[in-house]
Amino acid sequence: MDMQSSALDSGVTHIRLHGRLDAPGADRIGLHFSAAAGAGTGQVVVDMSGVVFIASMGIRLLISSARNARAKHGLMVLYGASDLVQDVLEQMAIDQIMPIVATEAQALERVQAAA
Amino acid sequence: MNSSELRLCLVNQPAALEPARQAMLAFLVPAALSSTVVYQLELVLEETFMNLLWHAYTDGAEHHIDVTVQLQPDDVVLRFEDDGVAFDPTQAAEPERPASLLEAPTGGRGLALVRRAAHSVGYERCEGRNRLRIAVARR
Repeated sequence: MDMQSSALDSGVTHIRLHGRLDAPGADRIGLHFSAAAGAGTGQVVVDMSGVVFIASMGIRLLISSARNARAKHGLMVLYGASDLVQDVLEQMAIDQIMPIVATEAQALERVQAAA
Repeated sequence: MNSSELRLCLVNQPAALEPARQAMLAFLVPAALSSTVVYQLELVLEETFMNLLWHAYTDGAEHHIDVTVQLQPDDVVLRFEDDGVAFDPTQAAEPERPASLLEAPTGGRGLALVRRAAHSVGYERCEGRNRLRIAVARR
């Protein structure tokens, strides 16, 4: 599991995830991901298109990181999830507690509208 | 071992998960299952194994978890047998649907994911061992 984080000119934090967001993967990036989500303005978009698998430990990490963003009065938005990953997130009603959209443009729109 | 069954013996350490997953995937290749079914089987393996690591043992000692993957005509059946504390996952409560991000529990979703992935889940406690049978439909 890999992640890259960068600050966009708009002040939004862009995080790209790649690999398996399973227990070992969540453990590998956990501290880095949580810290990145809580950095800056707390406006965070997460590119999920490279995530090939997510399990409960990955969901746990998404929730705790989204809370870090919220603590900064920001918002974390996921985008680009595959159908299989999206299904798991919807089964666990994660789409009810954080925005999950299709494209990066939609994600940026959501975080900027919430600012 | 026959050609439609894979038997694994996993030590109760997180590092045991990935080799077991790889072995299961290699075993499943000839069955040409859909990506959805393979995903469900990976979920069942991970969530059940990790749940055992966190909750089954309190003595800090090494234990072994027997895992069997069996191809049946309509299902793929995963069996887990361990000597941990008695726990019937079929009786575990469903997590409540969260009303908000702040109210949502961070954890407790593993068994719910297993139940959604599975066609059936059966449990018995026999001679001091937990025996869990989880069937995932092949289609």
